[in-house]
Amino acid sequence: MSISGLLNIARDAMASNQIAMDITSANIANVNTPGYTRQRANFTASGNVDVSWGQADSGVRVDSIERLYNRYLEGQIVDQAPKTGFDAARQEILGRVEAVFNESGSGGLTDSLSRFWNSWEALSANPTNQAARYSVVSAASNLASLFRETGNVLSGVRQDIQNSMVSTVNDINTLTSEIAGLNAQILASGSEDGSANNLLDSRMELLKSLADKINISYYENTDGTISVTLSGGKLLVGGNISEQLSVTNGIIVMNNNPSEVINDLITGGRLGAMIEMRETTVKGYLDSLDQLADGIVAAVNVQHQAGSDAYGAPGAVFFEPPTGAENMWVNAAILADPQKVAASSVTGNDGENARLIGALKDDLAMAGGVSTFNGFYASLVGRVGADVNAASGSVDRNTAVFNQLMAQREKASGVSMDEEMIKLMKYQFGYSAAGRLLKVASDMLDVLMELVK
Amino acid sequence: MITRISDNARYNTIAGNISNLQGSTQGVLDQLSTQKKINQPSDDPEGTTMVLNLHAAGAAIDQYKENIISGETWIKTTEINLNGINDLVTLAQGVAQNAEGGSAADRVAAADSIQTISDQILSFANAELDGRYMFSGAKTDTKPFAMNNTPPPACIYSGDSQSLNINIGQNSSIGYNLTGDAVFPASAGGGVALFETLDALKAALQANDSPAIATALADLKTGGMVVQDNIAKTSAMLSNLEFADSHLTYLKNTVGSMISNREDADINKLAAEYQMQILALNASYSAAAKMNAQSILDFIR
Repeated sequence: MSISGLLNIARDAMASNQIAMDITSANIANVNTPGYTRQRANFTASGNVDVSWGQADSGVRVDSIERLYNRYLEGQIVDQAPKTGFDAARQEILGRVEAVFNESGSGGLTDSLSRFWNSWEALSANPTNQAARYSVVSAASNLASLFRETGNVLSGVRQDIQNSMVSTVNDINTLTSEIAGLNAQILASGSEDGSANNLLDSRMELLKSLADKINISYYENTDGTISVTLSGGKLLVGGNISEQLSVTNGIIVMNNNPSEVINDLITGGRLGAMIEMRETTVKGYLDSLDQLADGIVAAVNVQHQAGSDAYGAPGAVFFEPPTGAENMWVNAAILADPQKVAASSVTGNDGENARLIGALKDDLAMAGGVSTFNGFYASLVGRVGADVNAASGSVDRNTAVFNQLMAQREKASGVSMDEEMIKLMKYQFGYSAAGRLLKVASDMLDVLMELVK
Repeated sequence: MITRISDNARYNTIAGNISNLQGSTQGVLDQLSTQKKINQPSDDPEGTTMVLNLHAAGAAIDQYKENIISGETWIKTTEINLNGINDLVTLAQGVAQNAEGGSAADRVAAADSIQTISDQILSFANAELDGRYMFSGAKTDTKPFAMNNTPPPACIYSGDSQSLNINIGQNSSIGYNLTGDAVFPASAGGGVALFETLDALKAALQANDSPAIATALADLKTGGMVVQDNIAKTSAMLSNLEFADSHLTYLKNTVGSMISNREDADINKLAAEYQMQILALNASYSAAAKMNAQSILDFIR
């Protein structure tokens, strides 16, 4: 064994410890980088020398730079992300809807409905009273405008969801093309030696962002690239190719097959929640509100036409014919002249017709004959509340699961400052020792040089 | 196996706990400020439905009570008019009885009084309230009684026998009027008996026909009794309404306390809860502030 061999060993040791310190410093620097996976320099003994009893290891080198991560855990996080994304979007949307149905103060639809029915009864007891006629007309137009307003807000929520779907689909397209781009870079750099570690981290982060927006599956290919599919096996990313989506009026298709609507395949992520809210939940609320408005309009109109107004003429339609909550209007002729309110059954002022209209509030006219108008609305509000409640519960559960997975991930892949500091000291000590070795070898060489002088 | 605690994990735990505590503290504060347990439908969906239904029921009860007040006004006015008529019938009887024992001239003078009394009774019978004739049934804009002066003079009833109704409860209504044909029954000839009797009395007095005066007096007594029966009816109607009203008052109180039970927050409990939340929040803040107090960095020089 030669003295120059000693020099080589010392050189390799210093270099290896320096690389390890680089890696440690990268870990320290990235302590707050989202999705960063801590790395470790793996040392291995290199080469060997002949000694009298055989061979001995000689020197050290950094064999690889390893990403410390749990593949299974990362997969679980990507699986969980569509659920948390779905819940978060659903909770946001339902929160807006709930505000529409907030009846805890006065001035809501329940109040307005009660005032409407009561105004008829007041008129029935005082059919010649002009003020009573005016109050029927004003309660009715207030009721109609509240129905219109509530309907408009719900329609507006659906329209907003439709707009959000456009930007979400754009985000999804950007993410899939970025993932495809990273696939190409990872393929070019080779994934084994650690030079692609940062690219792998970035790709995993993009994958998690994508999973937050849409339900996906992914698998790793042997060449280091990943393939991303939508449920139903539709490929979103394959190698360096990404398939783009487009959305028109809430209808989502893949650009490579524009005739096939894929809304039904999107059941998770923020986009899944948007589709469900727009097509089912919020639409359901709007449908119920329309049924209620149409039911009131139809029942009041029938009874109103059975009566006679203050001029002795038969009652006209009281509301414009039923076409949903957003189009609920009091008949303009009655609005202009409350004498046309048909309060009485005959050409007198017995108020009987007004009494019968007032009593409509107790008719089980809704939900197939089991619910009053007020009761139907109260159930609708209860339904919204229950949906919001269920959504919050689901958010709590899925967030807890997600946080637990993230905590697990942090255990495996997160940076601990204390640990890195200790490693830094360890490598620094190794570096110093190797330096001392160099000095010793240098001194030995000096001795030899003196001998030959 | 060594459990690694990364720095991010520590920050996330503390931040998550603080935001959870802030959320629940806000919930308690919301309830404290509104003093209600239900501030939005999702706070208690089933309770929200119930409270909304109860509010609607409460509003309906308020209206039923208003209806009853209107009905009572009508019935009390009816009673006043009927009492007036009753007094006039009694007066007519007195005038006729006095004249019975008087001279022919007295009887002629009495006949004039009877005419005046008949006119006054007619005006009571055509009484209005809020522009509605009180005794014409459902035809409240038709004057119920009018004299037909083609001989023999007769009084014609132009109203009907319909009752005027108000709602006093769910699917429950009550009539509040007395129709003219009930208060003043028709004679065999189809006219109004009471006015025909008064006319007959007047004619008998003028003709100084004692047996006819006696017959008319007996008929007048019968007519007066019908009026008195109707006065008794108004009392019965009033007490019915009063009973309904007191029942509604009871219902209203029940509804009110049901709403309160479901909706109102327990302030004492909330105040205690709030203190606990603040305590927990302070502890979390303190833990967060001390998070970096311990680090290996303090020991490395």
